Amino acid sequence: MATVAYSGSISPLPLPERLLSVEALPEPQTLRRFELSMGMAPGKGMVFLINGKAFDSERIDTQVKLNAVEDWEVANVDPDMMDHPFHLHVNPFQVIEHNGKPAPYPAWKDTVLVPAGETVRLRAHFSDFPGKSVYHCHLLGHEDLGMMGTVKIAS
Amino acid sequence: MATDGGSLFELVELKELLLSPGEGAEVLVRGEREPGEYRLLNLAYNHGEMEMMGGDGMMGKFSAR
Ligand SMILES: [Cu+2]
Repeated sequence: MATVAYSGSISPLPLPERLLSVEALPEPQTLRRFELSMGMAPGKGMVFLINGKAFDSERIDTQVKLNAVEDWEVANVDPDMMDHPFHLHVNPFQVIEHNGKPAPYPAWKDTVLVPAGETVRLRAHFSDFPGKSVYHCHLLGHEDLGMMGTVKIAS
Repeated sequence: MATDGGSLFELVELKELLLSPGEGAEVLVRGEREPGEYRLLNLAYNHGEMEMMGGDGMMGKFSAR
């Protein structure tokens, strides 16, 4: 994808020991589970589903209280064993656990890969933005065929 | 040194990095070996996508060799 070329030499520069702090989020008030899957729908063919449902813009799938801290357990139960990168709009999150194992270091994310058969637990603080937003699989084909949900954040 | 959501707290040393669609990373490549040309490689990754769905399902695995 790229070639790095260099010549000559300079004395090595020290790397920074610390970058920016990634603050730990408070314990969550709510735990939700999202199951990513696929199936066949009459007249439609293949559909991609979150908790058994394909996206419907008229439906609110998840109601979150403004300022809540929530844990979302995102489980890839797709029988076709496809990976799904899970993306939450607007509200950055931290991965807490992957298949029950703590994340190796804290990091802010907006997309996390949930490999086939695996579960990722993420934590978000819905602190700043009331209103409707979405979460979805970041593979365009899956998202277009239903793997998306609406979250409504309200006080 | 950073993910799609922002800076890490400290540098994490990696030889390979898996990025799925939508993910991002900032990396620092150190030029401290013999002067020359070094390739950054996009490695194959099987994400289970069926052939018929191909095209939009690109995932990159990235490595310095
Ligand atoms: Cu997907």
